[in-house]
Amino acid sequence: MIPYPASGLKMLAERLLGTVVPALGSKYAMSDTAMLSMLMVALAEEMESGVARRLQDIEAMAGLFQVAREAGIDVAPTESIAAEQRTLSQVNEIHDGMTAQLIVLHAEVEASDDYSELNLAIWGYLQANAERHKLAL
Amino acid sequence: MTQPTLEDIRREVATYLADKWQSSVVVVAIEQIFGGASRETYLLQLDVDGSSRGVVLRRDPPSSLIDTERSLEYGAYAAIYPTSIPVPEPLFLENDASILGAPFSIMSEVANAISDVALLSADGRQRIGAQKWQLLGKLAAMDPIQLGFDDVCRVPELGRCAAEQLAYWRSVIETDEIHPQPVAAAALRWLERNLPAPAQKLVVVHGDYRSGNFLYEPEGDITAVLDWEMCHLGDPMEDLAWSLDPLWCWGIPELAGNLLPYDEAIAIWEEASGLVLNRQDFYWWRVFAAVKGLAIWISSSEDFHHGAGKQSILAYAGWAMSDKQNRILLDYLSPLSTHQFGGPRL
Repeated sequence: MIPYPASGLKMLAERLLGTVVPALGSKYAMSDTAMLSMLMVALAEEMESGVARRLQDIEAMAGLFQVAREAGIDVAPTESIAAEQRTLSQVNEIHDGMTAQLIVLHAEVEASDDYSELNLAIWGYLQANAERHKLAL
Repeated sequence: MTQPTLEDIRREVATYLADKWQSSVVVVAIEQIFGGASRETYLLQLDVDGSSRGVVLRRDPPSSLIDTERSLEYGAYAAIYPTSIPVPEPLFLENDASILGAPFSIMSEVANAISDVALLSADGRQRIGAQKWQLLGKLAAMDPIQLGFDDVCRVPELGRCAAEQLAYWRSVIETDEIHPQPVAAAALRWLERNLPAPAQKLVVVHGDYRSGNFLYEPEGDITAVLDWEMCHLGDPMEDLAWSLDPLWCWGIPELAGNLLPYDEAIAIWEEASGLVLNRQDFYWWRVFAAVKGLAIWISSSEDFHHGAGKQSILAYAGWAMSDKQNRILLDYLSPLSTHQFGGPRL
């Protein structure tokens, strides 16, 4: 059997909401458990497409760093991601490292009129990133 | 005692209040209230010498959305209670952690009142919305020194209110961020570059004045402003900007706090406070409000991952609220924004 963890988690969340919540004795426990169920659904979605979304971010940030290098800004080389690294936690680590680099680059770029196009491109990336990771909660 | 059960609380609070009031006290019912996570909150129905009354117990949690001093919160309730701003009557502040495993405070229950503004009709939103910003304006009109707030919190210089708040929330973000925060970093740089003019006057800043943090009677008035744990002295723009943050518009984006159109809320506040909004400075405070919100959500995420508290509300705030707050900040600051949330134009 090929496991489907995301849909399994969603089903468990639905069961929690449909069966366990109504049987609970206190309003606090009902609200808490309903929220847990909602978070489990969001986690299921993250399990399903979190790696793909982060890889999109990573590719976009690598593009921005390349533009920066071509404009003469010193940006450290970007780590490449081997296939075996593509678990959520490993991709997260690389994503975090590149985001920290992006913050430094953004501060440098916005301080100079010479890099206005790159500044716009970074804002564009931040907006696209926010939309990509927008939660349905 | 570490984490008391409801039975522990029932027993210990009955003993505690019987001693304080020198009366016979029986806890008839006890219920934990879900929602705000700055304190564990319980509603207790009591029989005191044969008479019924309700009290609310606020107990320090293992970790919270907001790390605050309980004495500050209690002191604020005590200072505001005699004024025309309705708050629950503060009864006892207990710093001895041996009784319930953590310090706690007790207040009178505000009966027959609710906090969910989504339940209001269109007329109700208008009525409660008007009261909400009138009360905030009244608070801004009061002299905090006359209220005794200089005994409760530090008195900042008028010209330092914005910079001090910015420094505080910057430190929260830098200390608690689990992942790098590029939107917060850009917003902090913008705030540093564009500090506003000194405060028009020093006021009591509630610190979390929003829909959900007051109680109202379904067919009547606002009967209590709650959750003063982030209160401090500062610029009147701070509370107004926080109250108008688009984060608090869950269903109706054009209504501030799901209650009133933004300009109407501002006009009511101006009339009640006697102050006039400087739109340029106010924009700074709106960006600041979004950064402060983001700092709180980042902090709650850190608490959920590393702290002793594993409440679902911390995980929710750390994830869903951060998500929306980041999008609000991008809406305000990105040169590419279409300003769905008003941007500098509000």
